[in-house]
Amino acid sequence: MSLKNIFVIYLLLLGTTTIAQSIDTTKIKLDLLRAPSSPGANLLGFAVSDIEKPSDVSDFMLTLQSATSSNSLFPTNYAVDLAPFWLFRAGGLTTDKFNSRKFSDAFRQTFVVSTAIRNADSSKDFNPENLYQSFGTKFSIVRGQLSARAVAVLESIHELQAEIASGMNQQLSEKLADDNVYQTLKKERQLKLSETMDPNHPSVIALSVKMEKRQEKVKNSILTSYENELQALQKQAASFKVERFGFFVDFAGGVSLEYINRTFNNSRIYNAGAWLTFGANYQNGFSLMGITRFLQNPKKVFADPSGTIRNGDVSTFDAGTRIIYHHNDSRFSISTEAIYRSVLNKNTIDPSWRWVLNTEYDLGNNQRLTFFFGRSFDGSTSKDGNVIAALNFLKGLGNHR
Amino acid sequence: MSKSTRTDPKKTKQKKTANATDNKKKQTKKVNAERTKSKEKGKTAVAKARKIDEKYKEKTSLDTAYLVNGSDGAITLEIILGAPGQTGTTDIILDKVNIITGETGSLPEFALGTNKKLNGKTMSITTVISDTAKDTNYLEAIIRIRGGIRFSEYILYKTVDKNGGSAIFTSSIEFFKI
Repeated sequence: MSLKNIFVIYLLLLGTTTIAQSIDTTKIKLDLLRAPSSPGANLLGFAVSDIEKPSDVSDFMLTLQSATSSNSLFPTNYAVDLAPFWLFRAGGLTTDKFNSRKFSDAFRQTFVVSTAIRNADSSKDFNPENLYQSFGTKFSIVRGQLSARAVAVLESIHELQAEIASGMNQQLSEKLADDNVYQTLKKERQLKLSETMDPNHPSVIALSVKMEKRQEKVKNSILTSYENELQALQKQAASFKVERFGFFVDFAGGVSLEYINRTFNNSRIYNAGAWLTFGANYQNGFSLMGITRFLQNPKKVFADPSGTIRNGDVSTFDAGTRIIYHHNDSRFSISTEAIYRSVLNKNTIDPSWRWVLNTEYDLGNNQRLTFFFGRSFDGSTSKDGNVIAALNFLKGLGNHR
Repeated sequence: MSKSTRTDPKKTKQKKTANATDNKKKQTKKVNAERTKSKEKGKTAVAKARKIDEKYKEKTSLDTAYLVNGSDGAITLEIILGAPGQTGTTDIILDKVNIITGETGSLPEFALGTNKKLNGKTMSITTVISDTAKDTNYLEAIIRIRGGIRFSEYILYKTVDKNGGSAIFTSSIEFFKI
């Protein structure tokens, strides 16, 4: 790295620090437009890396066995996300149904049940005397459509597969019908079946295995004529990427219970939440996103960053929207976002809102010029008025891109 | 004590040391032999485990008989492709007639014919599945047949080494009346 670059970085760091001192950047940060990936575990404060996500039943049983010390103890801290339709290998989860507009298909592919148990925790948020349990779910109500590129790749894969499957099936059945060794084995199996009347009899199975081997041999001889198609198929399948565009609506919700003194019939709601995320994104670079969120007794009251509200039993409502323009071929991007937040059942905090316009220009060579301007949350959350504005110059390290 | 019975303590000590060294050598030899044996055993166990792994890594061909009765009850077929996120196409020939061509994805349960009609016929199924899922390279086809003597489920599977790899599952099922 040249001395000039080091000097530029030093100046930038100095500049950034100055901006950070004059503006409270925590108020500019926007994390509202995000629903939790695991609603149940999120309510009990589990880190994403601590949540088990089994992909099949045996995997699930293994995680359960590990959490319960070989099924001998009640799990102490355990969080799991289960996608039932994926777990039990229900049909309709292959890519041919990925572009389906039907609610049933979207639901099957996105439905996740999230549950967690927190027990004897020493952290200040949880009472070690009590047991906490949560349940949550999330699914898509409406999904965006696959991109034109993804659809074209899928069509090409299907065409190649159909050609191979049809050719292979035809040739294999014809060759096996003419194969003396195979036909002799078939007759022997029929005889054994007549004698034993059981397809699972060891002698029948032994003959079936021999027939499978013969079938495999014939299949391999046919496969050599499909090498080009298989190579093309590999190329297409490896390049397939799920990209979705268009309107989408997702729902996530959950509730957690606190069992007082770990007694089953003495419980109360510890916290609860519901998130509705919606929006649309388009191939021309425009995206519109929105979220509404209801939280019952949340760990963090977003409308009360100063921590005025201390006691529980608080319900909050937050809403946010964001419009983004960013095209892969363009150096310029612009976004504007607005957030409204309120405490529903307490009069201590007034509802507040803010909006920000954020622009960014990519100068190339890992250099970006960003500018944002807007209105901050009013009331006690802002000390120096409610206008926020800043001009940033960012320079990245490493290779020039 | 006679002179002949008297032994030289120095010699005795030497003899004892020689015996001890011999014993030690024998023991070391024994231990080494045991080690080699257990190593070989270990190698055999690893080889065996590898063989088992290979056996369970893939099953791409099926040849079996499905028992039917002489009734007019329908025999149905269902094919479920996986793992979730993969892409597959199926072709089915029943008694030399192509009944399914280029069908994408899983096949919901459908009737193949009656027990009586299917007796003696052979069904050939070829499914080509490609790895398009980002989180797994596992490919499978689950074939379920109902309506005959008993419900049967057959699983064909393969884990491909490369992303985008494909598996060609071929099955030959003979309907046989007992």
